[in-house]
Amino acid sequence: MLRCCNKHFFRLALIFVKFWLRMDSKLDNVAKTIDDIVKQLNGTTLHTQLKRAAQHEGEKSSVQLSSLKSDVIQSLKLSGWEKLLRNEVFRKMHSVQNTLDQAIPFECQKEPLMYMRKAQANWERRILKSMNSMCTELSIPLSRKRPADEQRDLLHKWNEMGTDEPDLSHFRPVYAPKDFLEVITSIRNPNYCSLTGSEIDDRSLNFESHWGLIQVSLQVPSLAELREIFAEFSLSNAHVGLDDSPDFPSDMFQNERNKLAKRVIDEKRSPIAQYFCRRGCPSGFRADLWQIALGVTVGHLDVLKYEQMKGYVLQHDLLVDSLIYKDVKLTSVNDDYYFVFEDYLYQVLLIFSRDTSVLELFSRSSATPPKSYIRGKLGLEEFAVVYPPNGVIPFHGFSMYVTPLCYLYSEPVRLYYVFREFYVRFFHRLHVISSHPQGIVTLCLLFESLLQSFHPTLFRHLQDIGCQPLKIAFKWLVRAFSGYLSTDQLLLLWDRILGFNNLLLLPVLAVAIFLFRQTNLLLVTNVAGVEASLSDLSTLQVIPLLQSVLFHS
Amino acid sequence: MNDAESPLSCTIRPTKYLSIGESMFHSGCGVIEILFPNMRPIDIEKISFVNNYTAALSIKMKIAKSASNQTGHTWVTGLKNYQLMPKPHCETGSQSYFHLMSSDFCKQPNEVCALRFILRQPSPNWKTFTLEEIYVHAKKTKDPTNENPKWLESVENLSASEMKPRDQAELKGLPDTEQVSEKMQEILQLAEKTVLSAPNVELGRFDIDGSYEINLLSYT
Repeated sequence: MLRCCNKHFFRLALIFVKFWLRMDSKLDNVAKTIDDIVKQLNGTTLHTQLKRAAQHEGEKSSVQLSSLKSDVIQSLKLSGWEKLLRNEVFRKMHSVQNTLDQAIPFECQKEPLMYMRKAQANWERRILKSMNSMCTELSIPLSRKRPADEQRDLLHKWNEMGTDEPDLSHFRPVYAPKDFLEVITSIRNPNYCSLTGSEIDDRSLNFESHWGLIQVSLQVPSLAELREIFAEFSLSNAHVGLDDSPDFPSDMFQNERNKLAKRVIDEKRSPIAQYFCRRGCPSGFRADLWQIALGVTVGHLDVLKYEQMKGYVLQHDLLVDSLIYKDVKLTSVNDDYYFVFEDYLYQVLLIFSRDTSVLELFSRSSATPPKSYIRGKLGLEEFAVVYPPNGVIPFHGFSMYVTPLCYLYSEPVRLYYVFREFYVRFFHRLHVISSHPQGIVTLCLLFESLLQSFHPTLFRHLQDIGCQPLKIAFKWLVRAFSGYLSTDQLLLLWDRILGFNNLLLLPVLAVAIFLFRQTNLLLVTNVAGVEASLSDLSTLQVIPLLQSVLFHS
Repeated sequence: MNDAESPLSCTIRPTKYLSIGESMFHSGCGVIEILFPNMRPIDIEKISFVNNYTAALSIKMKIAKSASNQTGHTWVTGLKNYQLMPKPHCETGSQSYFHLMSSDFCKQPNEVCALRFILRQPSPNWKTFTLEEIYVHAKKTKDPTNENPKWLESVENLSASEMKPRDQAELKGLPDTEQVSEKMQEILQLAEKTVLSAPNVELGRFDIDGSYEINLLSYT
């Protein structure tokens, strides 16, 4: 019986994967992907639950032996298990997009371009050095076990960690977006030959064939391609964030949208919820819609896992904890909108640092997690560990990836799992050097090329006064605009990022902001003036701006 | 799964770039010649290589005319302008791995004596372009070493003959071969089952024997 159910489970999974693959014609390696997903699903809790449900259905007296197969499948469909399986397969589809080929070296699959691999490796080395020198200077270990009484203390004040004011003046963020920009702009392809025929000379920007700061020729979509990708943004569609604003008193749209949102939530299907996000979520339903779209379920096992990781936080004190602490104090606590969430941020970020399931993303990103050895066991491979346990070293502003979500989720567990999914799906691309079509280098290049083609005069003007536009826009891109836009507008933007499953909206919005402020910018003649006119973005309306770039005739 | 044998040993001449006389200029065209010395004409199953900034690839095959009872060779186009970089000015595909199967060819690559790869790169953005790590895999021929080993054949023959090996084996104190093979299959099935049912869900522990005390990060 069980074996039979097992077989059906995989067959169902197979059918769904096939269905989704057909939607995405870029994937030709169908069989391999199906195999990977089925392997990943094998042994999961969902797998066990499905088997149990199938067994339960099979034992019912109404089931005939002759039609056992179809009866069980039918009843699994009716009882909603099929939906859960579909959602899980849909979620897995995001993580197994590049199937591994045995014949190709692993690092080449992570990142095909050798100079990008080198750049990322050098960057990681720099971070390691900075971490190590911080440890040596402050003479503190990267990780130590907390004594029992300290563990008790921390558990006691778990919900009010913000009240604690440890002396963190000696700690400094490992790096800030500015440092990262420097590294990205210094990437060069050794095989690149500038059009003038002369060797690339860093000192004379004029001889380089790219006007902007990014000097690598990655493929970026053209405006026509962008229009195709973001077709739902067209002016003929009504949008949340535009047509429901008080200036357009159209209750009709808002009511309809709310009704539809309710139906989507009742349906509980990830792809539908994700598609719904493309035209914006009504704020009352956003939390549920995002959760469904991301395929995040918070069952009792997830709560248990959360508690387990909380236990790990209590057990060991990491240097990363102090970095997180410092970052929250420097960014979110300083922000008028976000300071109230301080305690949530500590909880979520500390637990995030202990979550080893995040490591899985390193198999499809060009980054490698930092490695270390247990004290006294240097060089012994069996004592090699990843540090921090999730492999992600936070930088200045990292906590801003979580803060906007605090507006949506009041339960830390739910907040945590939604944030993790967001990070694994989108944000990790924003601080890793890669040639990925949605990696930060491509986003920067798209920003520069779009601005050049839309308004060459403005671009040239800014360059002439010594202010490369990317220098201003980079911090927006790295943080996905978190902390720059007003919260409601930011959530409208993230709606679309999730809905289109695409980070390319970030550079499009950055270009729109420059164009929107162009009259001002063209009059300014120094860097400080440019910075001043672009320092406050909190009054901007995201949706009309995006439309103005994408669908301006 | 893997029908192709290990790569053939072949001579790969360095890339020659098209030029006029002595003058060097970016012609955007290069040729790599591949010879199979000391070998009969081969049937190609797969060609794999790593791209290094070549935008499009054509392959000419030198084919032996033995089939039509003629002597000598003829050059045939096996592949015409196969795209390696979808946009020659951009990086996509520039350093990727490629596998060309015999089905990708416009003419079956059988009875091949030599290959010429014609590389094209219309974009002047790149200093050089070539292909690296070229491996040619021949179609699998019936390999005598892969057939049933001699001893197995002898066992099969024995059971068919009148010698009644079972009795003989019993006499020697050995168990019945059929029983043994049945049991072995059972064990194999069980082993497969355990492998399949092993949960691949990680426990999420990051410490080693309860310890996660670390001083510094490692550079290697």
